[in-house]
Amino acid sequence: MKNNMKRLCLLFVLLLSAGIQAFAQNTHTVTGKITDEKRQGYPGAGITLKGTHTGTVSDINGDFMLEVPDGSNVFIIQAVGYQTVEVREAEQIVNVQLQPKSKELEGTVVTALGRRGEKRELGYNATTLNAEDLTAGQNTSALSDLQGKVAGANITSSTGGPGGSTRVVLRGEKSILKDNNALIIVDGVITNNHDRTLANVLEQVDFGNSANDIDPDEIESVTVLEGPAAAALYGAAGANGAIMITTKHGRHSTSGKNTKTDITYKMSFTMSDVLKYPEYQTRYGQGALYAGITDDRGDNFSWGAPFDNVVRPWGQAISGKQLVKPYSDQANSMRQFYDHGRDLNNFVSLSGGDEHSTYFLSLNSINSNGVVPNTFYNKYSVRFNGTTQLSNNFYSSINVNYINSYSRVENGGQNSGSVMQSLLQIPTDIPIGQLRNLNSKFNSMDFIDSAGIHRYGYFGAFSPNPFWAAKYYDNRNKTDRVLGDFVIGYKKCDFNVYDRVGLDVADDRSYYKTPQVNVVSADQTIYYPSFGYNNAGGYNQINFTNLNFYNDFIGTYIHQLSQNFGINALVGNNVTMRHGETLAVNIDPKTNGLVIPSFYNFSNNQGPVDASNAISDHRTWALYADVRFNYQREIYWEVTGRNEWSSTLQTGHNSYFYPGTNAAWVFTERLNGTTFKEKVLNYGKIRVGTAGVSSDAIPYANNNAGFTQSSINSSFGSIKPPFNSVPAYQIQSTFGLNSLKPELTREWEIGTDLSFLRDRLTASFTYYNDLTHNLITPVPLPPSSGFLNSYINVGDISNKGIELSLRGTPVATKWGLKWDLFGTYTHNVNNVESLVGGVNQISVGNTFSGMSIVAAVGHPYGTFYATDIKYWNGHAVVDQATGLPVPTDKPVLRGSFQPKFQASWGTDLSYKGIKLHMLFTTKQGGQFYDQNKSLMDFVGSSQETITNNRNPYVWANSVYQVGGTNNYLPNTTKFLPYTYWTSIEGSNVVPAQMLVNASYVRMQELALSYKIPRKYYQNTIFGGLEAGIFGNNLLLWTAKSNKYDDPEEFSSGATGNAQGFNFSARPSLRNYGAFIKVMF
Amino acid sequence: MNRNIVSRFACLMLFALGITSCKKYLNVNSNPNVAQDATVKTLLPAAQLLVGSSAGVELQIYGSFWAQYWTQNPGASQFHFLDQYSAPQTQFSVPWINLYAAAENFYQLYNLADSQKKKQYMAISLLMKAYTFQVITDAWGDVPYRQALKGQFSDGNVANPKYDSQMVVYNGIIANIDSAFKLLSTADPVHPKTDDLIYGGAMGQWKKFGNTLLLKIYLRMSNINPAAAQAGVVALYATNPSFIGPGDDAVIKYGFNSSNRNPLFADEVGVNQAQNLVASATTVDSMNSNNDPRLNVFYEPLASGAFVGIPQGYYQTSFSSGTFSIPSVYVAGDAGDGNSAKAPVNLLTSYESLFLQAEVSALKWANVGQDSSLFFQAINANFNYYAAAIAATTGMTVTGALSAYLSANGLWVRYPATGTVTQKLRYIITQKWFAMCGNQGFEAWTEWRRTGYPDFLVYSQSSIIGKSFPKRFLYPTEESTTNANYPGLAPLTSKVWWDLF
Repeated sequence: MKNNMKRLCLLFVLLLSAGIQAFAQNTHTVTGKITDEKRQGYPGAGITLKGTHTGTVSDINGDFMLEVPDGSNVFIIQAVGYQTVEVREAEQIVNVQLQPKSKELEGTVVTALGRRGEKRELGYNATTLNAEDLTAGQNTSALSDLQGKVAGANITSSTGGPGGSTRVVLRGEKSILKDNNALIIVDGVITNNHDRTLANVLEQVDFGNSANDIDPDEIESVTVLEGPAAAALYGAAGANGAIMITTKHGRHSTSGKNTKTDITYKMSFTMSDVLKYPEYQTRYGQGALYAGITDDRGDNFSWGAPFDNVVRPWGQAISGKQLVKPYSDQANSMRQFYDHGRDLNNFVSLSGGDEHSTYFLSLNSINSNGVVPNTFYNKYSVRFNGTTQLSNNFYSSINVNYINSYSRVENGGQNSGSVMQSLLQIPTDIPIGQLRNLNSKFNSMDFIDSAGIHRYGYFGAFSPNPFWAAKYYDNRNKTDRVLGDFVIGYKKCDFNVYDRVGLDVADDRSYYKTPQVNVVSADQTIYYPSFGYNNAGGYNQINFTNLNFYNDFIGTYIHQLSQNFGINALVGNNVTMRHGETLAVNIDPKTNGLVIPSFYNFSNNQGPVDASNAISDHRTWALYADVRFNYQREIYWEVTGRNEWSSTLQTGHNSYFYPGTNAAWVFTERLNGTTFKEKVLNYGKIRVGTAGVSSDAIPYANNNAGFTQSSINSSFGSIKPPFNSVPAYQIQSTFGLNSLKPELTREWEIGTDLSFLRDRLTASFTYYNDLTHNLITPVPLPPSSGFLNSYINVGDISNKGIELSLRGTPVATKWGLKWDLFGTYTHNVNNVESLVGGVNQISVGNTFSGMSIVAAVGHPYGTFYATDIKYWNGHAVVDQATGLPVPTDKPVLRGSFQPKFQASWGTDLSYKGIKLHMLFTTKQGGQFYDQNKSLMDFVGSSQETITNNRNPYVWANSVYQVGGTNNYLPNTTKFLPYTYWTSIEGSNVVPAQMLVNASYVRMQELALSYKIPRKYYQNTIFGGLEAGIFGNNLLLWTAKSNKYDDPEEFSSGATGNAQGFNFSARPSLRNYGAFIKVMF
Repeated sequence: MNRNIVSRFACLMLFALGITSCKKYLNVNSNPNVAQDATVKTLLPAAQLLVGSSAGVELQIYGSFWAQYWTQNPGASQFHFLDQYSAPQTQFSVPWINLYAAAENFYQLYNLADSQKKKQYMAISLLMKAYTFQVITDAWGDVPYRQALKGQFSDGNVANPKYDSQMVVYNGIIANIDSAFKLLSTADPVHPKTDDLIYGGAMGQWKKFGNTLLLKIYLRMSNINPAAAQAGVVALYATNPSFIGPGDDAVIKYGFNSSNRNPLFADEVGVNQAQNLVASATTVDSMNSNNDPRLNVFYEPLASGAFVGIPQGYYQTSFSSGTFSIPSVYVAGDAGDGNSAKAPVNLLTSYESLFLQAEVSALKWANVGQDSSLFFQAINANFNYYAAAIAATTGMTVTGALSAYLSANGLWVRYPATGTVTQKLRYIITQKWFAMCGNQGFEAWTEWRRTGYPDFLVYSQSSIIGKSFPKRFLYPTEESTTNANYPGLAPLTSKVWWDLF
């Protein structure tokens, strides 16, 4: 540690000496303003003195100031997406208007702490997307918009609908315990990303994650810093890389004092449908023939007779009446359940300013109805960004975003009232569309008969009418959130000192209503079991209040020390406080219940109302420094250092240092003036970087086991003391090692950015190698240890991989036709290197039905671990007597949710304002655990259950074991498929059989837009008109064996680590619509 | 420049923000959401309730299926796996976790009571831990014992406890009971009161509990190690022990509240009061043939007043609802009737105690009075235990009901007072089986495993493993996926240590 401090100290000394050198120059100051094509101030443009390597970057208003040697100088102005300009200094003033140009690898970029720099400086990979590229597919989630556009990112969008969860992992999972999502940074300030999802593996109500609150239309650009090298200055929070979002700011025009206000209005309308339905068998309907039952009208089984299309009665006989229908396949009637989702998105923004101040105000609304009846998502947000330059060198800025969202979603998982579970339990011959009218007694879940008895008339005896579940299981979420940052600074020439306060305050309330129902079947004959539907009804409210506070005090110094040598230094201090409070109040239908039905109030309780609260405090402070040196705009070298102190680790382990360094060499500078550079390779850079990022524990992980009030849980029931007023406390099942050490990721990367044929072909390639040590994890303990988990430093995980981005322009004609092709390729090899204490593997999430998702030594993070069918030399081992496969003695490792590779490819075709955009993405080689498959096998609706017409057959390539010997003989005993699908596979005896190939190819985005040329409305109030049609998540091709679900759907929420698991998750959606954009 | 200076500089910045002390600023990592300490009064009921939950729910259901009191309602499939003899490992997770959690809390209670010199709490924790471990090892065979419960760092952080043979566990729990007796004999002014949910702190009854438990433990070893079993019984009787008699039953009583209801009923509420449990014909037919009035106690009659069971594992709906009986509210088996909430959970009963004593007498291991007398006392104790239920369902007094039963043309009441030990055992254990119907299902199944009685159990019609019976619980996945010392799966049909039948 002392050595580290010395290095930090050295930086200060360097800084000081740089300042002294500055006085030795014979210079004058040039000031100027860089503006864009709309004559608005352009921040972040690079300004260089030609022939030298002196340079600076324009500030938030487009202004810059540069010390240059005396004489008349020529400057080179560069900015992302704009043509490079050369101008001669006139009376110490340089004003430049930029002209847009095609994409290339040069330009400016936003890096850690919101600093703008030139992209050529960076010694690490960073991907920048401007608003147009980001929102081409018009997704309502900014994170989903990144899909397929960033090499190195693994993005999973659970539903694709408004408000759904989106998970973004950069360069592979690095932590077993903690959230592996990339840090989301808005205008330089960390934002909170938490799941609103009620997600344990059995029950989910997915309200999405809070990172999706940011409206894509407010975004000016996004820079993805893939590696920890890029994010080292964010400390522990940046260990997973960072997504830097820059929101739109006001700009003022330079043409005189009469400033014009820009007004943009955009409206889009989107329709949504379920993208992929499970594929059913089409030959057998309701019944349980193999259990000897021919008429089984209340059953969820599709194990009946083959279809004969004969019209027969079905469902309950109510007052002597019964419905009739042909006994025939309903051709995937699940489609009849879902509505078309509708989404109306309105956006209006005003921006303007004068010489001293700018402002930007936007209003956004999303009003949508989901595909499941009664679900909706409404969001309203307001953003204000303002800057002002005071006369005495002080300046300040404000960014504030207020977000209000209100949504309702359906139950998922094994929740009572889970819509998908109910749908999957409807036999193949039942017309789902006819179940919609809940006023019909035949569909009703609760009506009162002439004797005053509450009855249900719905055909199903085991799961309720999905329309009823969607209507009465009512889950809502309301969120009010304010996030923003406030800056006061002082800038004079080379020195800039500022303090930035960042805030993210959220008040998040979720309400879960469970209807009371106590009914028996209307049909009291032998077809319906004596029990009906009973639920005492319940009401649960969870209030989550979150306060994140950040304070950065930063000083920067930018100076050109000599003609060739410049320095850009920063020192700062950060204080971070994260405080969360959860207050949950619950009338649990299982241990309590409502007195008066449909009255959802905490006074309406049968027993004591269960209240619980949880407080979480996490604090850090840090000192950091970042010094960049440049030499002749050709060689760049950056050194970063940060020391952080954390509240979550014990004194002695809670101070850790992050060193980092990277370098870039723009080697094409050596080729200046050559034909090779002119004609072949116009830009080339080699970069190399390394960094170490430490990461602390979650709050309280290193605590000893405390004591909690008991909750005595059986398989399905629960008793909550005080028991006859006797309180009962038991020891916690989790504890931690007091002396937990911080996790440490060390990464190095090497890469190159190349641009050929005057930017007609660009390529960016990166290889990275990182190793995370001392992973902090709650290791599952055998229950016989008396505990279930303990937090320890458990081992190392490595991620190695390549990131490749390519873009080419095969056609670019003088008359305006342009054709671009682009793509990315990501290959990440994740490996659990070692685990301590004789542990071979650790579960990364809950076990469900015998399936664990684990981190196992020598395997990728997220490997599936479960009992499978036993194999001997490639033969399935069966029981000689029954012919049924035998399960393995111990669980086995079988594949992982990590894709082997991901890729995307797309094309843009544009001609005079018309633009056609198309993007495909793919992930190949992963697997997912699909509980829906298990259910479909059990009820007999999956296609695999009709193998051999459901007649007994011999398990393919099977053997049986002779006694207890190691001797196996070929098997000839046939097994009854019904027994296998219902009692073995469908009953989770061999959970590994539920793994499904997760590979897919997806048409991610397709859009056609037209920017109407200005000449048609030059003399009107309009400043721009654009309209288009678009679609996202349009088409999906999955592996042949995946007849079940979109492999991207997940049940664990965005921040959970047990990914690759689908238990009746919300279906993913195909979205398509049209938009119009008007500017004044 | 050393670290202190850097640290002080950082601290200066905090001052600027109005934060007064760096140490205080970071000192927020003591979990405010849990209590740092417990008291003996809160640990004891928690651990007892965990035992009650396992004994009342999973052990009761699995035992009652495999002792053939109950079978799965063909109208649903919740427990079909039990009748199929094809249970996945995951079905055994909850009882394993709860029983080890109970043992852990008894262990914590012992340590806390030890540090506070509360000897009666120490004694109760030892007795209950012994009870708990006997259930664990009788269910699963070889299990972690000597290295178990020591997961915490302060206890040595034994993260992969080794599996001990069942004999080692038995020797350990016998030693536990002996230690408990030494603590019990000490006068101690600190008594548990209502926090002892079983005996309310009555230490005399805990002594009887310990004696009866020892008897049960020794008799379980009667086939595998008769010499040790006999020696143990002889030594026990040498102390002139008193055993659990009527009124001393070790039970946890439950009530109507959501916070104190019978755990089996709570479990049934958890599956929306679906009536999965129904009467098995094995028991109902046998009780019918004996004119057993306890049918009224353990099952609900049909509208006709008759009692009808479904053949064990018969999974076809030709039996429609209303044509078969279901377990009664007195064994918490009627999911739709809130009175099930009041059923007690029996841990060690007076009739069990008397049947054990009758067996000792039949074996002539100790001079404890007439085996036939003890046999009838045991039946009497069972009737007595359910006196209120008999009165409520039949209107009869215990005496009336018992004499009707004994005088009826029943086979199983004609005790062969002059018969062989084997003949006597057949009667004792079979009557014990009748007595434990749905109220001590696990013990009945366990005694069937030990003795083979009753000898008229049938193979489940749903069995997918042919003509074999389940003989143990499977190790749960929580153990097989995490314990480096996990010995591998012992199949459902493999016998535990003392099972020679």
